[in-house]
Amino acid sequence: MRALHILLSTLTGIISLGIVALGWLSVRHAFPASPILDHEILSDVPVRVVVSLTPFGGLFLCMLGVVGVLAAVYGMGYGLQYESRRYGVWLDVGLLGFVLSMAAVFVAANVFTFILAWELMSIVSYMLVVYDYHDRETVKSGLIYASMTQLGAAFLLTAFFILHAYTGSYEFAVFAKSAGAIPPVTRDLVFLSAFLGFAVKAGLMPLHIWLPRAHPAAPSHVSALMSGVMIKTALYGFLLVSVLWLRAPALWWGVLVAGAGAASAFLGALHAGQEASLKRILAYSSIDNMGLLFLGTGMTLIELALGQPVLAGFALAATIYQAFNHAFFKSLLFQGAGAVLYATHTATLNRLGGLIKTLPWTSIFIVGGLLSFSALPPGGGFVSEWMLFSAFARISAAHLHSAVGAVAMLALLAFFATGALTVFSALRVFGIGFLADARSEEAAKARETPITMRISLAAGLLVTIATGVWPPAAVNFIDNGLPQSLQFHAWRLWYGYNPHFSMWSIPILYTTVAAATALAGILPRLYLGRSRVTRVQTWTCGGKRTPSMSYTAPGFSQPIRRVFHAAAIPFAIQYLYRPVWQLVFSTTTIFRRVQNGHVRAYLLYLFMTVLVLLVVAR
Amino acid sequence: MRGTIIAAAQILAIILLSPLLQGVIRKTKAIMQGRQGSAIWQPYRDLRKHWVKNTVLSVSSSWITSLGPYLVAGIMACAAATLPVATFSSDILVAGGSVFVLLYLLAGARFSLVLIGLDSGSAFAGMGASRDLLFAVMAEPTVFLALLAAGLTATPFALPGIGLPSELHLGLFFSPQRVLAMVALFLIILAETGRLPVDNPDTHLELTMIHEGMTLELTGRHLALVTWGAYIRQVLWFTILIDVFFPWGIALGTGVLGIALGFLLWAVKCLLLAFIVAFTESVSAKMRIFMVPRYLGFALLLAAAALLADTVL
Repeated sequence: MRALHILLSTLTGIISLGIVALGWLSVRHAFPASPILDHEILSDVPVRVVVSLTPFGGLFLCMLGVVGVLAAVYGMGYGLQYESRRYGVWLDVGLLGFVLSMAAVFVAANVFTFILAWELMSIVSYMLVVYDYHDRETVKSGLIYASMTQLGAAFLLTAFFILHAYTGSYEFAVFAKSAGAIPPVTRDLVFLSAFLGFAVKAGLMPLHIWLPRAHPAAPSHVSALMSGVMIKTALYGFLLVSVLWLRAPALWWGVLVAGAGAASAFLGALHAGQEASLKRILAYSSIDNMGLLFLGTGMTLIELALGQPVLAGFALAATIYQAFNHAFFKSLLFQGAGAVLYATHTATLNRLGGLIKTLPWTSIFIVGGLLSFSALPPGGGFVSEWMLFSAFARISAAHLHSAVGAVAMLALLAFFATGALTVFSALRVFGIGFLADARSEEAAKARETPITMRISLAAGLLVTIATGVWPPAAVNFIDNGLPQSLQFHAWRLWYGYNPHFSMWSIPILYTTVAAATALAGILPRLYLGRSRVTRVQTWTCGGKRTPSMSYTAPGFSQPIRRVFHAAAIPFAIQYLYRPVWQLVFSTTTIFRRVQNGHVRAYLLYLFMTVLVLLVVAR
Repeated sequence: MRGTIIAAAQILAIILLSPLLQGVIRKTKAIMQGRQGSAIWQPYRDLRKHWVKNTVLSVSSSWITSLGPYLVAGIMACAAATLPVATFSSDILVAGGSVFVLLYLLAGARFSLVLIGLDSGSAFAGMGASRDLLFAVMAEPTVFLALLAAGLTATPFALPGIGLPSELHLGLFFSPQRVLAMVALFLIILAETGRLPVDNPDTHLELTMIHEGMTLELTGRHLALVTWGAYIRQVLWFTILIDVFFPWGIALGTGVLGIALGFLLWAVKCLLLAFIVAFTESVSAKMRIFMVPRYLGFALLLAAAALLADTVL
């Protein structure tokens, strides 16, 4: 069984590598624009599988492949804890299916294929979420996830149906050509239903309620794939509909998307700073990051509506760059959280502590991931947030004396408030969960995780840093994947106007910090020699110190909770979901009267049904 | 070559003069309070005292405490190379004087400092860190909005470009958006440099300290580096204010005379700012911690108003 587990994980890894290669080649325009697979399943109804490798889809394939490889390697070690469950062989099968179905979403070229892949992805991920089905809470999370995702799919089908009604085709290629000619109000309808449908999958507030439940419930490398890549399928789909097909959007589309994105970003970051469990913190931070991505998308749409393709392309490239970085650091962090779970069997910050001594390697990887998470150097997140900031600043400068400028400024306000809140939650995670002393028996007795898990974490950290070390390569790569009309020359925008602010800026910056840090360490040692180190207990005003004297996670976030209290009211649950639930429950109680459990009654229903059918069908 | 020399001179000037500025502020405050106070060289003496002392580490602390102080110092030194001091020529600046890079470097230093604090497990450090981060959440957007209001049309968004109009047109100093932005930024600087009414740099009263709380467990060399880092941060904030709103007399090229004059004027302006800060500190009382968000919110409002002034006018 263990051999099968290793074999399956290796297979997933190899397939993911293949996905990276395919994605890379399609971004480099190595494939013809025509579909590479066009297979008709049924001839009289439009059930055809059409697959094509587009440069735009290729970008996301690359993202998926990298996270997939990491997840496969990680899974080899992580599966060991499921010894009693055949080393998690079914988990491996699910992981493989999950990767394949997501790849299918990115290569689908007609409605049938897309919806098929989309639903497969949802079902497989649902099954992976409830993998630990002994836990009642997990089952409940899975149920909420499944129902929300179906709700989203209903909106998507509506959007596709309207598109079909106006273009007379189910092919994405046709949509791309003629969806621009759909009359105004109908376009708005397509846009709105696509936005709602994809916003559910993206976990935008207030449609997010499934995300903080489902993502933490899944095994950690599945969480990594879900948070890293699956929610990006929503970004991919939404960009496809709004930017690539319905070109020339209305101005209010962009404002709506940017507003929803900004709200999600800020509230997601606020909640991430209040949660007690490591994986829930990461899940909320995914909402925050999806918010940022939709904020970027909204800005892209605004610029498209105003006929500024260069600025739009710039904002779009920044958004996708940020999506890449989020995929990588979030995968790293979820896997790190999984390593903590593996070692201590708890993810509650208040029961951790001192892990930097018991899990030295994992701690290094996590602190590296958290740097990128907080958009600090040397993570890739630093560079992509810099680019997003430049895009927003440029947009607000370009529309200085109009309402659009004000929207861009509000976007910037949300952007920076989110940024500071993210730094706060990163510090809270590491400072409370990993530093000082162990607060529980489990944390004190933690042992490092299997080597494959650490390899995956180390590789994840390398990828996270590598995306930011040489930004021109990354930006040009993304630029290649954008549709022709939105391509821009990175040189002109990011580096232009100032020859000294060049592609060397980032390497010079990192070298300067490293050199200055080294000098600060070496110079005193040269002139004053090593200083003698004595170890004493941390000062506690004279008493005996216990680990519980350190600041706790809720205490640490109390000031922010108190100040931003008004923004953290469970508004969505209270005013959006509860009325709907109550409506559903009250209608079902009416129908429950029919279900009285007597066999005679059911026989009567059967008889009456037959009778009615006979009358009607005759 | 000359660029490198100027950059090195700028870093050294900031590093070496930063304790003096602290000494001047302390002395001014002492005189205003009717005390004699310590000499303006006292911060240097304090630093030397810390340098030669041995290190006492907490048994709870890890490599974070051993590495962090050097990183704080390194980041501060690098940040000193990202903003114009004597000249607006961006040749000599790391990342061309980008505001984003500068402020995120400062955020990186804050990140290290908070981790150092929490590493010891001291409750005072936790308290200081959590309050410091609360203020950061409100201060960071304000700084960016204020700088945006001052230099929205600068491309790329970097300090030389933002400050240049102030240098070329003296009248801009009185334009409504610049005045509003300057007041907002000044309020934030008081908070970011740990001054009254937000933090009291002179006490070790456990329940009110913020910056001191985080450095409570540091000793010897580590304490020297972190304290020096805080002095440098103060100079950096003063320099940002100078660069954006009154860079008068700063060189535009890299001529030797211009640079020398630029350095001189920068030092004079820093001293003037030190007097102003000492004055505001002497006339204001420490705020209750949960009043500070209102203070910061006021600054945020001013910055937003400055931006609106840009849009409306």
